[in-house]
Amino acid sequence: MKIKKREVDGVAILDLSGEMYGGPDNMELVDIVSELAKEKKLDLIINLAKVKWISSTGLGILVSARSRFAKEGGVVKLCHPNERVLGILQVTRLNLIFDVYPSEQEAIESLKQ
Amino acid sequence: MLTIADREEGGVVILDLSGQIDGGPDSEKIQNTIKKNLAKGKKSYILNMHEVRWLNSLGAGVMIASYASAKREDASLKLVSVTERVTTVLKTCGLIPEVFEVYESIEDAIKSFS
Repeated sequence: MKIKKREVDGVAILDLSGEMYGGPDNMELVDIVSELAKEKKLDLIINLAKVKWISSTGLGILVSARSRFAKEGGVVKLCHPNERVLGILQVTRLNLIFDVYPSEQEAIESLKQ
Repeated sequence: MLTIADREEGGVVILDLSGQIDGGPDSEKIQNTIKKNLAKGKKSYILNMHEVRWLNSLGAGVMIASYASAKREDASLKLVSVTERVTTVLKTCGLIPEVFEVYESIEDAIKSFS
């Protein structure tokens, strides 16, 4: 899995690509999120457009990221999951704890409100 | 440090956890134990949290990973006897009440499966 970090209108965006198995690559996500939380950049969107698949451990890592942010009063939103990934989020009911948006634009707008 | 003992009661696999869930290698044993039992076709799981003193965000991730492994096999995982401190963390993470069902006693949780 690859992670690219960028910023749009003060919102941190992480573009993930590949498969989220929950190996060392995924721990990098935890580190990046911790760093953002420390810098008090508390609006984060994780863009899943290029994520093909998520394992259970990968889901755990997304939840860890969300938990880390929640502790600092921050928000993590997900956007653009493909049908397969959205299905996984729904089966595991994690769509109930994450706000999931079809597009990045909609996720950004939700943070501005 | 986390210790895990697993047992079975009325067809339900019960994991008695003791210590702290901090996302380290110990914590992964939770998911591994569940996966092992999923492979045997077991569908009902209880995490007995009575002796869990502390949990961090990585630990919450491990619990979700276990929960997700179960869900994917059409199995369910419920929590029992969660201390106040751990409840606060799980609520902050948004995992209670949205994701995990929590019961006061193992008997109540076992009944909930039937």
